[in-house]
Amino acid sequence: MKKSTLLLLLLLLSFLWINLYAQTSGIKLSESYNNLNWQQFAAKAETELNISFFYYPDSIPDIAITFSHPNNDLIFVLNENFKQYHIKASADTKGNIFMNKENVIKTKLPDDFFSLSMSNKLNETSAKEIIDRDEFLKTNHEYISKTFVVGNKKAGVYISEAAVTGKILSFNDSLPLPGATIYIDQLEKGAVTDNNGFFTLAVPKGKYNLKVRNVGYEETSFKVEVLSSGSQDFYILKKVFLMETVEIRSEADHNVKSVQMGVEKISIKDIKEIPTVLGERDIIKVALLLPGVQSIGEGSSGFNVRGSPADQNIFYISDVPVYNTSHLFGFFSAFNSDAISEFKLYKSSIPAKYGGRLSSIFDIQPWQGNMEKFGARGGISPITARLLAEGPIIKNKLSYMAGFRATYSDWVLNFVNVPEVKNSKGNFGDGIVNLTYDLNARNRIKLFGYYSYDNINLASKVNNSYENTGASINWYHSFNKNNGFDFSFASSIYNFTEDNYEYSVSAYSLNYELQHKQINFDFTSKPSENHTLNYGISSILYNLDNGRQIPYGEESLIIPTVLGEEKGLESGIFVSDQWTVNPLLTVYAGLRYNYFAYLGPNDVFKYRENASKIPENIIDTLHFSDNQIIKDYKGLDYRFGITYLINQDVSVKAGYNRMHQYIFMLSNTIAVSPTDKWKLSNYNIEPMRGDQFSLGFYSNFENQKYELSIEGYYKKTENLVEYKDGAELILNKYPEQDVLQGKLDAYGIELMLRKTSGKLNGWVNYTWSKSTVLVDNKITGEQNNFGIAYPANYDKPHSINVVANYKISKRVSFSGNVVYSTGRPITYPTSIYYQDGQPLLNYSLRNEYRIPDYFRMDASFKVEGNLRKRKWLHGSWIFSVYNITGRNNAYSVYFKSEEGYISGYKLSIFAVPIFSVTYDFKLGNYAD
Amino acid sequence: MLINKLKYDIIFPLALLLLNVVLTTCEERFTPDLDPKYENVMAVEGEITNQPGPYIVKLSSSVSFDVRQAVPLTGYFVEIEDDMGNSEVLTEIEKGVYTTSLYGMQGVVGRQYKINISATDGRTYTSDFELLRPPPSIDSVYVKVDYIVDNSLPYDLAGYRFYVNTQTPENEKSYYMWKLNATYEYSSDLIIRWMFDGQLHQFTNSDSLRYCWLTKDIYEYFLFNNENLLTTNVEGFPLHFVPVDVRDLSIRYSLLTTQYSLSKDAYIFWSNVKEQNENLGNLYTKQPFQIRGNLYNVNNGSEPVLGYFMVAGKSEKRIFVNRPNDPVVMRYGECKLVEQDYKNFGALFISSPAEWPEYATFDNNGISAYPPQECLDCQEKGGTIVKPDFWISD
Repeated sequence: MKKSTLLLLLLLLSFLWINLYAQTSGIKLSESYNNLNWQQFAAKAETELNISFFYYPDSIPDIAITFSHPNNDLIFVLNENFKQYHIKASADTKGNIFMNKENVIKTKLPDDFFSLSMSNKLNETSAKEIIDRDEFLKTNHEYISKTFVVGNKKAGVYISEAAVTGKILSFNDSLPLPGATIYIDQLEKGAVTDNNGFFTLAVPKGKYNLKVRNVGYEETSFKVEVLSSGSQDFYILKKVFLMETVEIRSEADHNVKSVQMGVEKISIKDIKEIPTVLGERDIIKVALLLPGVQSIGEGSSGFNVRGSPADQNIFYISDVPVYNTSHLFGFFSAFNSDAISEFKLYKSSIPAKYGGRLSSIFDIQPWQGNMEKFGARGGISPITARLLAEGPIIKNKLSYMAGFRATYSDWVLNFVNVPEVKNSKGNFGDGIVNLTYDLNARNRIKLFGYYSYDNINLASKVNNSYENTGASINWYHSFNKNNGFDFSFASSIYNFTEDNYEYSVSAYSLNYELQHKQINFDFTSKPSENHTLNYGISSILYNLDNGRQIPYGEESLIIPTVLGEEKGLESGIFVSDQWTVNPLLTVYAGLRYNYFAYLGPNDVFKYRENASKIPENIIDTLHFSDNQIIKDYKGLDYRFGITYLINQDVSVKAGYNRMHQYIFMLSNTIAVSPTDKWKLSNYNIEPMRGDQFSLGFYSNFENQKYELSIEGYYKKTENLVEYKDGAELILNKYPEQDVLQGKLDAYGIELMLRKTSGKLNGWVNYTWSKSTVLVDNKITGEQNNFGIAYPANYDKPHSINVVANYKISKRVSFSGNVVYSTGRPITYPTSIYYQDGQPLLNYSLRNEYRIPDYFRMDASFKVEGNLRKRKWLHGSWIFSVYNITGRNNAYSVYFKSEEGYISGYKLSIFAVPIFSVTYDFKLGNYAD
Repeated sequence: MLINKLKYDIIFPLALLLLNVVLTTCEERFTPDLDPKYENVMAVEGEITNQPGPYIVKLSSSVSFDVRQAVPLTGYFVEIEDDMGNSEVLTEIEKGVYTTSLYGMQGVVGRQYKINISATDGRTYTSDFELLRPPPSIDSVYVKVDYIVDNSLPYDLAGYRFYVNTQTPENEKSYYMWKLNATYEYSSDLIIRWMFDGQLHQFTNSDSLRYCWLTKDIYEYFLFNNENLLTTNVEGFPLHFVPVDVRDLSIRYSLLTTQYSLSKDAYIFWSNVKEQNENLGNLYTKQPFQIRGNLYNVNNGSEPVLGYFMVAGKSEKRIFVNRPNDPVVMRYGECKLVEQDYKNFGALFISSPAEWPEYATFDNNGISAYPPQECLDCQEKGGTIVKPDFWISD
């Protein structure tokens, strides 16, 4: 007789190979079973009836089991009694009874399920698997199923080592799982799946327990016997009870064991309930709750990572760079979170395959269409409506996903009885589509498209619109067990136009466009078990149209101004190696050689050497023809990382990065404004160079439930682009005349504690940091702030974030945030002086003061619809309150003259608690 | 261009406005602790133009926000110098106010001027030579009825918007600044019938305190340049707006527009000052910074000196406009006799001698009333009963 409790997922795995009876068992219960409590009932039945129960230990309430004759069939009785708890019983032919929460059970698998799993197999041996319930084995901690045999004896006769390859897939939807870990305890050896769920693991021939882990999935053990090299896919099951809860969890051992540091990975379901402004889910606002990520203020676009300006970050969504990531000036982000599966933020340890940004890489993975069946979901919040559809085009081969979001604020504005508002428009929208094609187990092709737009108009004054358009194609190919290849081509266009017709004589229309085309060849290979090599090349072609200002309307007398076009080619060749020196020591080293060429056609000024770049110092104008190299810059990037495991749960890591950046944002506003342009390093403006040193201590404890990390960093940026005071940049033909290049120094310590599982989960972090800018060119004598170093606009020395989620019951959960930070630096007017009888403000040195500290608490409450299995639509409601305490956090402080008297004012944007309700729906039941 | 700078003052409130449909922003008084080290910085104001002098230079020091007046700097040596070797020392006619003599230096177009200042302790300040540019002439200043939206009102508020047209004969880039000075005629709402100065007198000369003229500087200056225009002329540039909810347009209004042709440096100074003084807390304006003027300490370049000594071509234009006609409805408050005014009549006889003479009136039925004095004596509203010399009646 077997023990009655067993992990459900193993059963579901084994469902692949067995047929199940549906709703009756053929076992009739005698009256002696009537009125027994479940525990007693189960014990008695297992002893007397030669059956076994399989269920989650705590999932079945210990109720009294009652029945009446003649309805005494075992399964019928169980179903009747547990119906109110949404628990269903089913049985197979061998006397195994499965007790499941209704949403998960699959009493009968899809007809083609078997063929699906077959088709994904590389090796025929696994098809021969026949799982016998009697062969479940007990190891130290878990039950594992029958042995999976890899390879065959014949092929393995002359070898001692073999390579196991395969995919880790989700049992629920057969999607591959990137970033899953495969680990063999006996060998202290493991592997991580790549972006397409592939893994390679070299092991001596033998029998092993293979553990598979992935965020949001059950940790699963498989018994594997390796006879020779071969392939085996493994299916793991989504965590049922933690579905859609905040459960921030990187790859299980990631925090301690991986060689990366300063990398945050967040899956979209982790953020579903985090309360946000107006119920609009927003990955960027969530990123701001992570340590070392700051913004200038609520409703400002972009963010600042570890004391660096916003233009030192790049956002990639499926390899497409997105240059304007905000909607409505930054109040919302340009990514519809429904259509995203996860994002990764590299604050340090930026892999060698990425280059071109000094501070961070924000890599967003879009949602992939379900390969099996059609699905749809969507929702409405006070601001937007969302809709997403996904499904197979060729089942298990080709799937699509399309997600759209748009505002309906114009419609709302029509009800406001103020002409200025009524005639105003402010709308935005975005769409994400992709196609995923699994040609075969070795090839996968993805097509992706992205679009976002904003259109903001104030009646009869100014019209602003901007849009991002991008597309990419990605081909993943696995040559053999040790070599993979990833090719991508992406194209992205960012443009904006502004029409200003306040004064008809000078009414104008202004435009800007940036085109980014990027090609990547990225190879991964494992020459030996201890080394993982990553090498490749990437190349970016930039085409910038700095825009033209043309007359708007017939009365306008504006002289058309053409700001010119620019072209640049940024190429990189890189190689990196991750070397597991021994089970405790891992080293990562990478080199990236960058070559940037600023290309013609263009005319550039040559200024007197070692003199300030002002018109008086122009000594020559140089003409360049198409594709002629005007100026090139070469730079060598370094990456270095080392991880030493003190024990399995504690590690120390250190890292060093050097990066180069050849594009920057032309901006001297306090926060990034929607008409800020990107500009290339050129003949007169040198590329920026950044170095970052980091050191960290990591620990997981309480069985991986808690993750603790302490990271310190020191960053140095050379050639930081700053501007002369009061510079006019919008219509500037020669920005180099207003640019001053300086230095940025930043350092800080980040403390992070996460609880990754359980009813209560979330994180707490504290960051202490400093970021200082110095512009003092000793050669030309040019200075900012009179040559005195000043805090960067986003420098917030102390910052605390608390994010918590508490699952009250299966249908109800509660989430909350607490956010504190030091007020941002500000340049205050500190005295007044008179001109013409009027008081004027005299400002302090730059950023000498700070606005009041920031504090906010938010809460949200999520209620799921009922858990009935048979339903076509499942809905959920999120009620949230942003800024519960209604604290008037300062957005800015300003001074104005009132009747000749200067008074200070504090402006708060979200000054009252903001309630909002969001409704989400999806086809199918809770679990689908 | 000026327009560029103002843009986000408009756009940003819109973004807030959209959000305001569902939520509230908040603006409240806030007084941060400020370091007093920025007080007592020397500020210079003054100009030399092609118009006849005397030219005035005022020296003062910066003060904290709660001081409502400039603190004058007296006893300085102040001198204006041109590039031909001519100079004139200014005399201090009142504290901190220095002036050239009546028939002294006269600004000449095409010459360059600078200012030299010395303190008694030896600190010496100077500016660099700036060219006195030819004065552009104002072609016309005119008004159009305009409406502004005030969310607190159930109607759009009407008023006059002033516009300027300027002819610039030569084909060159011009940097304009306009300063405005307004004078308006208004009347008291009720007619004086009684005067009390210890004794009650019938007041027959009732028109004498009925009409007043009030002159004031418009505390806003306007800037524009033709750097990016096809024409050197400025046509229909909008100046300030006078709403109908104040008495300014009740009878007749006169606007004196002073137009300056500035150097580019002076223009940049004033546009920076304007931008920094008009910023109402949005983050899409330029990073603010300490604006220093065109004077510097000869021996210590790091000492801040505030204010600008302007060298500019200057021209003026005065226009008159009458009260707007239908359909514009005046919306300022007017005095009407109420019950309390009748009851108060007795209080006239116990009014304080310090306030005498006090005025009172009676209505069409001959019933006397003692309303607030500003309803009777137009001078109470700040004007004068002396008609200005330049005033041209309709």
